[in-house]
Amino acid sequence: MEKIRIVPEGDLAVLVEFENEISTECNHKVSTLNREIINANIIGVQETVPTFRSLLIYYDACVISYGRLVRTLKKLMKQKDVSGSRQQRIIRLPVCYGGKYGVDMADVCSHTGLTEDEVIKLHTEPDYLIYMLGFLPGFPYLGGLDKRLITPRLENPRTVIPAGAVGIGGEQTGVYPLASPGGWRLIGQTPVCLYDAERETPILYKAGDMIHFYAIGEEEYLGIEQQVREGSFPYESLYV
Amino acid sequence: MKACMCSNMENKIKIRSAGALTTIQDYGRLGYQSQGFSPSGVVDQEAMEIGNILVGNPLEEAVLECTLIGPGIEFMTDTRIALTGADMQAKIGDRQIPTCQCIPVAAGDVLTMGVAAKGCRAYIAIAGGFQVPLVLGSKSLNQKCKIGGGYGRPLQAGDMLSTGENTASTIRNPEALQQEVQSSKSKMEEKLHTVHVIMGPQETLFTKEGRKTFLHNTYEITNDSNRMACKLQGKPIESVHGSDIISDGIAMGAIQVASNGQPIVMLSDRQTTGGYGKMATVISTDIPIFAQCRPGDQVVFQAVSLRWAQKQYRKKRKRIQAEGRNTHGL
Repeated sequence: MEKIRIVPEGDLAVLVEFENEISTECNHKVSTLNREIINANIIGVQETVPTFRSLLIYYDACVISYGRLVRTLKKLMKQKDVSGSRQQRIIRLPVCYGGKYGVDMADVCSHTGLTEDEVIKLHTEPDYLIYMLGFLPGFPYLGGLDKRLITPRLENPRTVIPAGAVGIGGEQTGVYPLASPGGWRLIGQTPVCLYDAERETPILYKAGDMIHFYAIGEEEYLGIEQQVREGSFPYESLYV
Repeated sequence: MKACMCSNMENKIKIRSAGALTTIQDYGRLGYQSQGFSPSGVVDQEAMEIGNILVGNPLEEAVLECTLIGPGIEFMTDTRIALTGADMQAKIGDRQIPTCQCIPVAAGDVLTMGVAAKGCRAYIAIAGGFQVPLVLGSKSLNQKCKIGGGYGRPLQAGDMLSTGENTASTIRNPEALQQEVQSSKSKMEEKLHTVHVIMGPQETLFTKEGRKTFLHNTYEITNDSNRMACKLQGKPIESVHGSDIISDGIAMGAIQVASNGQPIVMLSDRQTTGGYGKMATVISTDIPIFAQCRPGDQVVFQAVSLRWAQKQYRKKRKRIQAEGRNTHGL
């Protein structure tokens, strides 16, 4: 508890900082507090931004005072004392690896000394923790990449990486929810539409959830892609 | 035109010329930062609210935000507008249109605006507001995600926008708003602004000397400033071991210090998270300074207590909300 720092960030936000490290334990504390705040429905709290090791809380100082908000936060943190190992939601994302779907697969193989099948096997094994979303809507910062898959970013970032691209950038792995410039090595592509502002749930996951990638062939890829296009894809089937 | 009440087809305006950057904005997209959506919204909230009060709208109604060069607009209906924020020498025909007043316009009138003589961002409020769809709860354009703002992009010549009914009956220029109007105008007269900040949350990343540098020097607004951030240039701020942090959330007005030691004030289109340490945060009532300052203007930062800042905030909200209610009660 003594490591937790609660400080104002301007007159309309408060920052709760846990340890100064990236770890699942620390991130779990962030998620837990975030959940507690949302459940407590504190009047005057407008929104929260959970990140690796801190939580930014926006509030209206006309509705709740800083002192009162901090007291409420402290109470919430004491209550649960982060024993809450609530079941984490896992979202399973189909990925077509290699070939034209993962144009940098050969680079990753040659850098890591692994075969394509080994890369796919190692990449589809873990449940990756979503530490936070940021940079782009729905861009997940994931933890848990197998160390054998670590491959440096491209020296010259691409100007466009397509939506759905799955890549490795140094010690991180992730998936691009929308087209964007980027320097990650692309190893695969998911046909699932990860971001749609018109959909009831524009982003399919949130910080604290886990992502599990599984490999699919081209035929299945094209099938899902068509379902997504026609609006008939059963998104609920992604959750286990 | 008045005879044709059969449809609200005529409740429209047409953009004749776009200006430099004209977008539809409201308070912004609240509640989606945890998913990575920038909040967007007007940079100068005070100017937006004054405009809405003047035309009899709810405070939160969307307005047009015009940057540096204003648009040309043709009105298809009789309505009322108010121009607030920067003075872009607006005219209807030969008639000069003053800022911060409720202006009746007639169907067929064409509003033209030029380069901002003072300030940086002008706001156009229209009676009944702009009838564009809410995307994730807001009408604001998020340019990066291509959502909101009616067209998912800045407005262009030829765009048509539906406006709401012109309901309020009387034109009034509320006396009580004079304080807001005056402070809003006087901001744009100055070239050197005192900006109040609350230190932190990561001021200890910087040396004692670095913090002193930040508070005792003037910083100049650079050309490299937009709705996302105002980049400043001045004496570099010394850090202890660099200013990188593990990425965390970024509040409106947060002052990041980049690795070159220069401060960056984060505004409405800021990314939701970032990895530069934050020296201080501009208090909410001083944000309009950064909405209206121009490249070359200078700022001096002055540290204040949270208590003082929130007192200013509450006072201002009280005045604006009271005035908003009065307008609505009519």
